Amino acid sequence: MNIFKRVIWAIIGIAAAPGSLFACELTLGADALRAENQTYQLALQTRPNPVVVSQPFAINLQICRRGGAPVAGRVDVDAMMPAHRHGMNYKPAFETGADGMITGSGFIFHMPGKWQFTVRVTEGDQVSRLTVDYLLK
Amino acid sequence: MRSAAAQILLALYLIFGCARPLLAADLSLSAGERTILESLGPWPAAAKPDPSNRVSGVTEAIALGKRLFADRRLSSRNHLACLDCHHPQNQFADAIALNRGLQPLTRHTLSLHNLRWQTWFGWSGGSDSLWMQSIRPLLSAAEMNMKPDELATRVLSDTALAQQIEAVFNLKLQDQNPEQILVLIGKLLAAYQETLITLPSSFDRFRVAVLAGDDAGLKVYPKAAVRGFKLFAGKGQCTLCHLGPLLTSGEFGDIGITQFTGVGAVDKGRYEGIQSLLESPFNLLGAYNDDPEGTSGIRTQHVKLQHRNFGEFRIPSLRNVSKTAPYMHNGSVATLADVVDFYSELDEERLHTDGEKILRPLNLDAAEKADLVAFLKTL
Repeated sequence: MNIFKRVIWAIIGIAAAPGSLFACELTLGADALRAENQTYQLALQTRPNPVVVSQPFAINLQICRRGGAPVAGRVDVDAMMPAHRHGMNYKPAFETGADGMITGSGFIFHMPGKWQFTVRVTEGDQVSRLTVDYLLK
Repeated sequence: MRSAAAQILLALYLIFGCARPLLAADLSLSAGERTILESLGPWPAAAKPDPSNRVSGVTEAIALGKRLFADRRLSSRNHLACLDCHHPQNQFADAIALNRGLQPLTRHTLSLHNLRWQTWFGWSGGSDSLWMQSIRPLLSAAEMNMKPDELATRVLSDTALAQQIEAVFNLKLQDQNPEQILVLIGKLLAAYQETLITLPSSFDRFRVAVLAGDDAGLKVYPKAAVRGFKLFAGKGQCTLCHLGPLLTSGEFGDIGITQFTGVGAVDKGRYEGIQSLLESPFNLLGAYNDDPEGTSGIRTQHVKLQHRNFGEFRIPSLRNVSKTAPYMHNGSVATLADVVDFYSELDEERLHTDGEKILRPLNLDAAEKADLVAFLKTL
């Protein structure tokens, strides 16, 4: 195999590898909530699922550009109750794994009712916002 | 005559006989109401020892904590014991609006019942553990006004007490500095207070009966209380904040009770609570947490100071609420009927613009108010 072919195969290998610079795939299970807009698609899973009122929980979040490219920018997640116009009393912390999975800890929904996760993506000077509704019983 | 009697009987039948099915229909619970009812128990809720306190649940610590709870040597002038403001006959509260220690106090004394399930303590949540909360009045200048050095001296001078503390914690007090001894006292007091739990109430028995389909159990629960429950879970939306077996979310809210404590003096409520919590060496992120690797400090780690925390106060548990008058953080509302009136005629002008948007006057009529009070009395 000549050097040219090796480079091509290496690029294909990197692009296909989970969490690589070129591949982005929503692999979270069927219990994950999903949302998309013209630019991005995401899957968000709470741990535990379902969330318990007033008890801390964590989230797993995968977000990709439509077409499978990874996000090269900043992702912020918050949550609020739209009808009540208030957010959480807590500020979650986030980590991004090597596979691109974002984990957030320190979420607490302190009331039953409709909550809404807000995922804000900033790439360069472009800001995009996706929302995911969550009904807490 | 016979005709008149028949008419009376017919009238009675129409009033009572026909009314009964309608009344029963009014009192039957919808699926949603049953779900809410189920969520308000069981009682007592499941409990486990506090991981941040290594003597939580330890029999000897509970006994020693109970003795210290009544010991006035924990106050600077031997003027107050915990028991002096938290009377067992008053649900471990004091039944007056505002008490005083060395100075007048600005917050109503909270009951100490059922604290083992709480996550924040005090009206502003300035403590994140029961042992931290137990230290607070000891050091408060307005209350017991104790200094750690003096407390350590008093403990060490009582040989029998010192030996008992050493046995419970398996350490030598001589190796402990005054602040560490203060924390040990706080953890003993907390071990005792964890045992103060209210008994199952009339409402709990009603809940069990509904879930079990026990008609006999249902019949002994007051009909007015059933109607009150339906208001509580429905029109009143009370369960947005008063939820779960403890009948509280454990969080904080601004309901428009005045923050002023005197001329030019303001109680910042939760805002001050978060600030003092994060500045304290006794919080769960500090060196005295016996669960340093665990998750007990997660709320403290993530709690967020926000402008809307001004004027927010604890959402209290409603268990035994009919026995803990007066009400609100400043004890300014005398009776349960007054509390219901307060929410019925809520003054929206007094609510913060960035506060809870679902708070609205309930506009209850007299019968609804009576039903809601009847329900609250069964908790």
